[in-house]
Amino acid sequence: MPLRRLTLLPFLASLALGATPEARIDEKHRAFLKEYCVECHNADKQKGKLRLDDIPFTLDTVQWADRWQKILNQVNSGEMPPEEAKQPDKTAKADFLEMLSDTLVTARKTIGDSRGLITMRRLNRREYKNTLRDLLGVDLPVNELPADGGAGAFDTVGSSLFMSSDQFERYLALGRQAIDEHFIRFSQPTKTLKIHLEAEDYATPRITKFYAERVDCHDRYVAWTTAVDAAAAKPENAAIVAAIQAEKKGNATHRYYQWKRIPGAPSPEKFGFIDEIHADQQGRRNWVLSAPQQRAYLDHPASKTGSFLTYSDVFANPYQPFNVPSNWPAGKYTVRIRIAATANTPKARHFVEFGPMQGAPASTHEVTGSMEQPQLLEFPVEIVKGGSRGFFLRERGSFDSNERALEIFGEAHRRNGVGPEFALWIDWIEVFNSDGTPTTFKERREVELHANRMVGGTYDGYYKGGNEAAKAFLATGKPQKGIPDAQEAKFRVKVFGQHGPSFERYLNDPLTKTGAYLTIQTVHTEEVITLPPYQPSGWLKTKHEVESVTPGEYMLRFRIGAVKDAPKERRFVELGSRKSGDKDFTLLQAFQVSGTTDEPQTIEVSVNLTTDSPRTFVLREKRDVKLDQALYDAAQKATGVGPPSALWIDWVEWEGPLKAQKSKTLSTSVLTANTQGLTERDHAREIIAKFALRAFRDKNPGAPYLDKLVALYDARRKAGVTFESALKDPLSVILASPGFLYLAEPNEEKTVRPLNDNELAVRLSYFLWSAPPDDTLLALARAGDLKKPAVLAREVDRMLASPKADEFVRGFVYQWLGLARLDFFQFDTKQHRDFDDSTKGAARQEVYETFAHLLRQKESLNKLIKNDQVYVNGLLANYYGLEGISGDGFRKVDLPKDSPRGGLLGMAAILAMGSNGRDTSPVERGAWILRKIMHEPPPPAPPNVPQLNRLENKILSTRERLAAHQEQPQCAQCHRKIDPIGFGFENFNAAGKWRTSETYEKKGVGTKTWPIDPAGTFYKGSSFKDYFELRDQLASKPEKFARGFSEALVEYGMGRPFGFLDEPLAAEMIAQARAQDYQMAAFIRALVLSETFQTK
Amino acid sequence: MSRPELSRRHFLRAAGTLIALPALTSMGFKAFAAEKAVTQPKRMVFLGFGYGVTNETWFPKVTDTGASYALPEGLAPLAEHKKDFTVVQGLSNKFSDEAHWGSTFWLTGANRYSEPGQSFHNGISADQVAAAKLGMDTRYGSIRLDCANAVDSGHGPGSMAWDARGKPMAGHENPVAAYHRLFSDETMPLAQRQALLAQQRSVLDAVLEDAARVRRGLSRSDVDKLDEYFQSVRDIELRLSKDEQWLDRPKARAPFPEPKPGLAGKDEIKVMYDLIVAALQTDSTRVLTYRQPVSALLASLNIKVASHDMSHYSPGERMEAAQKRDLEQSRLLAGLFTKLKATKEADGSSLFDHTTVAYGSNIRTIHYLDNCPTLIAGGGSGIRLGQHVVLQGKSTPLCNLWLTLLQGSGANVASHGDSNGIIKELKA
Repeated sequence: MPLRRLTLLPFLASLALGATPEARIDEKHRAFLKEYCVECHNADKQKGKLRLDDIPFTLDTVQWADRWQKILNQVNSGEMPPEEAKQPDKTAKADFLEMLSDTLVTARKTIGDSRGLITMRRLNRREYKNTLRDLLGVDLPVNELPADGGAGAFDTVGSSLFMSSDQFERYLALGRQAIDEHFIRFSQPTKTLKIHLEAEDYATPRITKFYAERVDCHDRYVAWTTAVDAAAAKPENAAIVAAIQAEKKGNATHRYYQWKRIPGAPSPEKFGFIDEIHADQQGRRNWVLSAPQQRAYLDHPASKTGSFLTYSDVFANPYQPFNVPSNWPAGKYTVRIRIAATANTPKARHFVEFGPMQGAPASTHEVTGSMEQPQLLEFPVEIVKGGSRGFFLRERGSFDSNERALEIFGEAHRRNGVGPEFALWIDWIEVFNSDGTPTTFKERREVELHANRMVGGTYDGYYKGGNEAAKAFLATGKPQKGIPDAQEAKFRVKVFGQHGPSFERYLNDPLTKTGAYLTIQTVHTEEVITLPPYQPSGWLKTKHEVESVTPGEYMLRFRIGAVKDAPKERRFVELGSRKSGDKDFTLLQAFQVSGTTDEPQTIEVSVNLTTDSPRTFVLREKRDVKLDQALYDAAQKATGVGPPSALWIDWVEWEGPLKAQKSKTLSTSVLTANTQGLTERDHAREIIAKFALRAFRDKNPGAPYLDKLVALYDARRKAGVTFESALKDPLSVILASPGFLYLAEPNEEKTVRPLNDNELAVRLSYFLWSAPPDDTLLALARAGDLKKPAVLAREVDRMLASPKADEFVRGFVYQWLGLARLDFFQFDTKQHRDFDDSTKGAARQEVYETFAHLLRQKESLNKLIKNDQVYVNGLLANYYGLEGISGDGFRKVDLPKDSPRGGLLGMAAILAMGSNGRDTSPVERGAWILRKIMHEPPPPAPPNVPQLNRLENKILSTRERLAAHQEQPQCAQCHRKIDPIGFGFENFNAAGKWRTSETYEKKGVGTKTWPIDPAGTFYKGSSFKDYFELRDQLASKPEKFARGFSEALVEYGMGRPFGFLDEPLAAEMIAQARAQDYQMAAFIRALVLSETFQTK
Repeated sequence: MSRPELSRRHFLRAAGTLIALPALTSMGFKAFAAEKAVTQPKRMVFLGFGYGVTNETWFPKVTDTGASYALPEGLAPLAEHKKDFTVVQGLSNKFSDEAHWGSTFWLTGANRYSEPGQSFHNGISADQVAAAKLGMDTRYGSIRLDCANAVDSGHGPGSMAWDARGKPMAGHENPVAAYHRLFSDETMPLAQRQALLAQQRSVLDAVLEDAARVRRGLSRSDVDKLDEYFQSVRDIELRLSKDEQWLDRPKARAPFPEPKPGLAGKDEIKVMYDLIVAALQTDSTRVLTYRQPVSALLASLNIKVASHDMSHYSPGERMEAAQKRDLEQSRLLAGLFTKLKATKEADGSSLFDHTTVAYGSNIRTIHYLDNCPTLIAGGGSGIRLGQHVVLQGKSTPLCNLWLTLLQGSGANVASHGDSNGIIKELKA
């Protein structure tokens, strides 16, 4: 190592030599040693074999740093100076300790400084996951891999990223899983059979033709009846016409039936009719009954681009038929249609039936697509040899029977003179062979069926039935079913009294006829969305369309509304996943419910399913379920029933796997077609080589490696597996190879060298996306354009704007601000009722969203300290008491003038980290401010400092309790800086809510309430009277904050600790950003455009 | 046929079929073994509990030493085993000054800052020294058990086990995964497994080819980094050749069914202890480490105090939490001892007689790193048991203890970490 330091010197000089600070103790402190130490530790009297009279004051080697560390530890632990010896006064001792602690921090940093050396990085867990996603379009859970980072370093720092044999095996296994799932999602049938039929091609010409015939018939009928009328009008015929008319009064057509009796009236045959009956049917009746619908159909512009499904009249379009070509082999095919429901028709008519010609409908599907946004529906069909190949689509119930169809048509026709309004419109129909291509399924479940069966069954059987049996037992003494003894009988009577009314209330509520409530503690606490093969409950089986579903992206939907009187804070629903049992719940997301039971809303969320991920998703009211019992008992005591429900669900639905074009994770198949007539083996090699090149981020893996991979393929192929399967081994091995796992930047020279374009693209994309470079970046690198400053700056902006940069935001912010602490303890939700997991999740999200918004909107870094806006969703707005904000998306909200929110300091997540889940911790908060905002990190807590004796059986206010920190110099050296800042935040409770007083209760001792006193003074600095002044003073020193931010960016982006050689770089980043009002993106651009970022 | 040493392994090898080990004693093996002196293999188990103990109630009084010392409150659940373990006071790692790192340097005694140019350094841990010697003949050289969120349990970063280059060795956080690792049935026919081994070799061959390409032109420190990869592959090669030797011998059958998923805290530790006994009993490995969960343990005991707050106890709720933690940990440990004693070796002695259990942390209590809590049990390394030993002088290197145990277990190394000798007071 010393060698490297020397040889690096030429480069150092080029940067700015002399930046390396010296860990040196000021000579003035020699007096302290002389006064209190040297008497025992000198040349003659070396107690503990230690001399302090000649100890060097420069800590430039491990040996001297260790020696001073020992001295510090001895003084900290109170062992030195010994009790009987002369003692320094408290301030002098604290000052000496502070100086020595700080010097040692500097010494450790100086000696441990890597001199700009970047240790080669392996993909960390996040990057590995994202890289698989970009490469293969699969999103795997990678919890199997060990967590990265440690010893305080970012998870991008190469020297802290290790490899072990276990881990290597996990890479192999995960790589294999990724390849398997990719194959499932992207494998394509080797030959494609497909027909595409535009619906209007069938229906519109047909109706046009029929309508023309109608017009023709009607014209001829008019001509004929006009001629008959002319004959009837002759005076000589008046008597006979009057006689005919008298036979059927009011029937204008009767005379035409009796045309033969009117002399001179022409025969209908002359007008092309068979007879008068035919003429009336064709020329008049059809004109009234059939033609208006045809006319309306053809007049509708959508009949030019698709077809409507009509009722009854076969001369319109009551069913849309289509055929599977006769030359297609028997087998499974998929029918896919693009369909819409019209806006002016009732929902009950938005169902389409599909089935074989001359058969009953095979399936019925709800149509939710609109004319503006039609939807795709897919149904599987199986063609058997010699079986039917014709199929139809029609509106549900449009042909349950001829009579019924006529009845419905007639009712509408009487009403509007046309017929039923058009409800369904088909754009096109496709049929294709579906081997290997996952079909998309969609299933909706009306939840009341299961819910009522379960709630009703439990009530009838266990509670009501049990109560009756128990009463019978108590009356007769005879054992009853399920009631073996008096103890059980009494218990059942009791629980019936406790819970019976809550069940009754549920079952008697009219809304449980059409949906299900979500309750608290018992009755019906949750609703589930289950994908095959899972069932909603053991009470009632549903028939799933398929037995199991393949991995992929799925859409979950549910229609939900809040009960009229539900309070604001109860209008949130949580969606979680369930692996097993009926208790397991892993929170995925919370949603604000803005719909009501009258006007419910539909919420949808996409989930990514892997082979072994849960298939059951649970909906429940957002709350801490640990409090259920208490809530229920309280309500039951007060009202006789459990708490009223706040949420009601109409139906639940799932759909998927979503097709690539619908899915967020877009990718193409690794299996490329053999377009050049290669042999099978050469084709395999081509696939392997292409994938390796992509996986290695455009670096050529070399022939010897490919040979070995092809050998793996050969071995499997010889063993008799298919072409595709044989490829899986070599492809997964690529994902465990160093070329994939490591970001190598070779440099044998002892001096730094510029990165090449490809290396720069890779470094940049893992910096800003935690993912491999995309095609645009790689193309720029290949063309040699990436290093042009203008191009590079533009790329930085493009990358930050991309949603992929959310990975940077999360990865960086989480580590920079130490958000891990938020999960270090469970919140005491008895004390902080509404700080449940969902709120905590939203609070954490606020940190990311705020950072991302500020970054992308070119805002100033200073807004992280103080801002007159917040970025919140409905849940958090409600928590902060901001009115009029609802919905689950985070958005910018202007704050009232006197709000303590805005910026990190007022965020619930940050404040909650400065607590233990129940009470505030001014120490944690003060230390956090020193570390993150003021960039004056206190040295690590020293070991072996004697614990102070606390006064037991007394309730002390927080300030009184922490006063002990100032008593001993060992504590005071740091706490005199930390604690006053922490007190300034005392107006926020442990969960970040505003308060003006604090109450503490100690069992057996009593209760104490004291007003919050936030006033304080920075150590050797200015005073503040409250939080607002404290915040203003922190915001007035943006340079320090900018400095900490810059150092963190350098470490995260470079993948190595911030070193002393980086001083000029940090200064330059800040200078450039300052010129742009501390714009956050400017720091990043300055870093990326620096020489440091572009060299290794 | 000469039979210089008859161990269970030989017996199994000869039998060539799956035999549930617990059945051995009942098959009359005992009488058979008695004809010839049998040396049972030595085992070592290292159990770390992160955030130290309750100072006031866990340690015996320093004045009350020897065999007749009064068992303190925190160790009371271990009363029935009192003559089978020794409590040692006065040990510490002199370089440790990270107040929340209970396991990182516990078994290494390394100086974090000893390498200029690096902000973190560690050395080999005692268990890995043991594994190099004791792990030669077992399917697994060593097994590392771990807990989720180890940092939150006061273990510090990395691992408890560090390899010869001072790199952390990952462990199993999940009892179910560990169970499968040890005992999952191999349903695959032999020929297919042979083919699979060959295939795995080809896989290693391929990745090594790429590793060689990547290595070209790397700087020295990057070559060091990539060496971790090479080492990983070598470790697997080693395991593959072991697998090959073991090909015709099925994995040991687990003495109990697969653990329930999702166990946390108390139940999690208990099942991990069962796995430790099972792993030793089936001779799957002879060296184990375990970073025990602390925060999950508190949660499972229904203690509301967060683990870090608990570790910084002062009289009152936090101290009560710390004491409850001590008691539960002692209870669990007593259960482990009972099991080890009840599990008989082929010669009728117990597993406990040939195993060393080291139980402790680099943190004493609160922020104190001196007088690391240390409890040694079992007959594996021939130390005096049933004692309370208070070492003279304030800072005997903890590594002296590791050296004593290693040498006593047959791993004849001359030194370990910053050791400067063995602990004579512990020698029987």
